[in-house]
Amino acid sequence: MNGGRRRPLLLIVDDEPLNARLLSEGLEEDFRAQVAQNGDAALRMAAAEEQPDLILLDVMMPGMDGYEVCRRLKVAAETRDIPVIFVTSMSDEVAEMRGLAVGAVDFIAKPVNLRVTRARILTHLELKRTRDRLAQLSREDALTGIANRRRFDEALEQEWRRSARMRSTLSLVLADIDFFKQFNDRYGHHAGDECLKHVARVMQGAVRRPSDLPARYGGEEFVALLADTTTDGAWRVAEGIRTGIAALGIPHIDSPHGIVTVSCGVATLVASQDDLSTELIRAADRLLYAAKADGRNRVVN
Amino acid sequence: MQTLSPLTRSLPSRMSGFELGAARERLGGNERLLVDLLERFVAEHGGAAAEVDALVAAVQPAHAVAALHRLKGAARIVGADTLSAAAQAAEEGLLHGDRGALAAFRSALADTLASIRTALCEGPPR
Repeated sequence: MNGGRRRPLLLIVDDEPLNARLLSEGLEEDFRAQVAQNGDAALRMAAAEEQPDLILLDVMMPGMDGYEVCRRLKVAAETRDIPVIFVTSMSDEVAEMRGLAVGAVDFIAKPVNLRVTRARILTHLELKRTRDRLAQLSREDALTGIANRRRFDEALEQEWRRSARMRSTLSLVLADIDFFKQFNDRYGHHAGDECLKHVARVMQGAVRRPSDLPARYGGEEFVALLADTTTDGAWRVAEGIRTGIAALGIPHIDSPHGIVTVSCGVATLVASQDDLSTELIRAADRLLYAAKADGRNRVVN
Repeated sequence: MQTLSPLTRSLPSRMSGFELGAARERLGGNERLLVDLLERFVAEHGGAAAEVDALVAAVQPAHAVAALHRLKGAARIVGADTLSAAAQAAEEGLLHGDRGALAAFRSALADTLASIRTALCEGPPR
């Protein structure tokens, strides 16, 4: 468990010092521990820079009780995914149901048995890791490792609404590898896959801001969603992508350019509440078509 | 939080008023932690009888009940089952306005503290 990796961090919330001591010291071999003696401190520590991996939460506390702490943790986006285990002497089922209803993953009865507690914590940390990994996989393109279509669609929806609200410009670069079918036919699918990975890497390198999202849209089509970006800014990103891919110099003898190139359509809009976000994709697609018709290896906006 | 001090004395196998076997089992046999918790119990809860008496005298029964409830939980951690039962009886009594069980609680607390002090001071050298 400790092999090279940092021990997971527990947040122990208990107003009884003996309990806090029992848990923090008794589990010390496997976990690091922070102790909060009341609900306010617990909420603060849960949202701190190093967030706990799991929270052991007492129910009966003066002031804010454990249920309320849990409810607030589950409402806030930055703390909602931290597993919470209630540690309580109230062994009745009503209390347990209430705890589960506010989002706890488990219950441990006082006085706690350290071996049982340790085993349950490990189980829930493992579940959390699996869940995180699945969530990540479901949003990532398996071949190239960049965002997939699902993640892009979510981000587009979100940015579209934000653009409509803030009256800010939203740009989309749609990039398509030129003559990719011929490339695959000539060099084989393995080379095709490698080519897609190279293009994905260039897409990633071409965007600058954390809010910019490069993604694989499907097949040999890639997108870069650029929030708060004007026509000029988006043009520069697209040119960076186009020249970056040409600079890779991947041979492609069935292309008039002799190397792998991309064509880009760049659309910039201020979203309107009456339109669908697909409007932006449609606009970029029209411009991409123009870039293809115009001789490829170019950016059209 | 400071770490446990090295164990210089071991506890006796039995302590009057305690279910040490069950406590040891819950702590996974961590004797140093048990000693540490017993020391902390004395420091944290040694004055509980006076505290409860003061709260009862000040007609703050809800606070007295809460103090007894806390003590009951702390006693269970270290295996002080006799005290834990006495605290529970006193807590339930006070909830119904009955102070009758307070005397038994006071004496259980005194016995428990004495038992811990004896064990910590006179445990066989390690």
